[in-house]
Amino acid sequence: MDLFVTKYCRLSSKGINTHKGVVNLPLNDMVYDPQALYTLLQLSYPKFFKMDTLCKYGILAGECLFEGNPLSYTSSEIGIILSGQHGSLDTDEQFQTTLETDNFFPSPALFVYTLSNIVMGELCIRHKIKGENLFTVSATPDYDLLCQYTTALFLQKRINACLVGWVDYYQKQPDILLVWVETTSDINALLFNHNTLTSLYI
Amino acid sequence: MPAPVYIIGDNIITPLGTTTEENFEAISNGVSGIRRHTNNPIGDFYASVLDKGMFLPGESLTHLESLFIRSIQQACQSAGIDATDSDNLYIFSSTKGNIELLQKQANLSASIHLDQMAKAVTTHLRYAGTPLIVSNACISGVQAIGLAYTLLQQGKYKRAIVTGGDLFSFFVLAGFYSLQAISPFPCTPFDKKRAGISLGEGCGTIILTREPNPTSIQITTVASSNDANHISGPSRTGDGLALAIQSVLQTAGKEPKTIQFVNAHGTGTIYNDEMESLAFQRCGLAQIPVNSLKGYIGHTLGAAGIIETILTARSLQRNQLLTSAGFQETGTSVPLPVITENHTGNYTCALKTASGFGGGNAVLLLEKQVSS
Repeated sequence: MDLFVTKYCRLSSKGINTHKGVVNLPLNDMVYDPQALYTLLQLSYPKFFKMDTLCKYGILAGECLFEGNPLSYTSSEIGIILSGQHGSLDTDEQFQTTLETDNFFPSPALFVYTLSNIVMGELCIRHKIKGENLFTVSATPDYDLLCQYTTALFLQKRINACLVGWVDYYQKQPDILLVWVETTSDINALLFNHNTLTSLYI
Repeated sequence: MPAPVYIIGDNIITPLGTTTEENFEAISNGVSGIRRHTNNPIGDFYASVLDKGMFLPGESLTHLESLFIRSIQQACQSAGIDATDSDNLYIFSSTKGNIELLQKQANLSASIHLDQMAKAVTTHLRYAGTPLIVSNACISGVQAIGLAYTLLQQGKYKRAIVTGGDLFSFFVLAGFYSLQAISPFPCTPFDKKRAGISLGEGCGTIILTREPNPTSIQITTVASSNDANHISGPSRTGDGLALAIQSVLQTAGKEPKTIQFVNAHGTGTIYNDEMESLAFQRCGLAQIPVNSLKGYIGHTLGAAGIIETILTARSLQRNQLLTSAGFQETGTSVPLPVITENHTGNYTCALKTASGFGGGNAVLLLEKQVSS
């Protein structure tokens, strides 16, 4: 079964690239400032401000990819298959500092972000994705796993579209690749396979 | 529909025992591992915590890693297979892994990363391949089984060793405490008085293969869904969980009334149990007997889906239903037939559900093969 990447967004310390080309950032280090990117991209999604940094980057990449367009599928037929290395470690470290015995003040607003998969939950809420979902952890992106598992779900007719990718953030380094996978191709579509993902993850 | 997979070996380690048998026996006798503990600054709370003697001392291994090793070795033994075999696919399920290492601040060990934790375990077992890791909050265990199910269909591996573990940690206790979600008494799933969760710790390992095995319990199908509604609370309507249940029933070609019992997620929080009752009603399951095992072993996070699936499979094998600890009076707007007495009968078909933070839901169908 041939599947296609019809849209994508790569967000890393090098900048932001999408299927439409390079996103022009007025300042070189702007990519390290999610709030500035939010303003630049003219987003209007107040939930953004309560999120941890990993989720902010995930949402920003999703915005660059979908550009505010609603997805042309029923919620339950859209899947989301994501991976990362550090999960919520950045937020875990922040939460840990609130647990010192002489200054014990754990914040529920922080705790709910101490799970790897919350970025997936935020993307589901933002884009109304209700289908099959999976979050895996690996040292580096495991394209074979992402491709095999996603393709199997399409073959089983469980999903008709899928947001697939690598979402990672730790020690100020965002490292995100999101691809939108569909069964029909347009003129600019890429085949959804190991090679395509490798070439987009640069 | 993809072919079913078969359970050919398993192991459970909780405060109730170090084998599946010991755990099943204790639970069928109504024994709970949940005890009162005290912590400064949190005070009294209830949790199911392992005796320190249950951890095998291992050089350079964390408690959790030694638990994984012990559970995997026992499960392999029960299946009569070699843990080092390159035909094995290893899948780990954990939410927080070695999170206690964060307290040590200085020189953060590599094992804080789930991939390093899993690698430490498989290296110790002398398995040369790379393990996969699922970390999707409370549905991780059921999802790890689902991932194994899908990857086994492709024939690349002979069998999957799916192992889930999480320890009781101050990190998670403080987190749920900050959400005011820790029950002031041992958790009472689906009960009117329920007031939150009791945390638990443990490890479960399940070994799956596609080769038909007439005496094994089969996993017919697995599905997941997302509420797309709230990151730390379940949908108020149960629609997300209902999607995953319907997907499983439809794929397996099952009428809801043919399901004989449901092993629910049943955490004991007001919202989870209410949401589940609404989802079961939506799917035509409101009349089907239901239990939650969290009143015996607490919420074991990344291990929960695996431990509870194993116990549900054992229920089918032994034709014996397990009761739902802590239930006295209906406390959900849809009254469910919660199992309160030990039943024996001919049980061939059960559903296992899980729901968690991040809005995820995962469901699988277990069946006993009826010899024709």
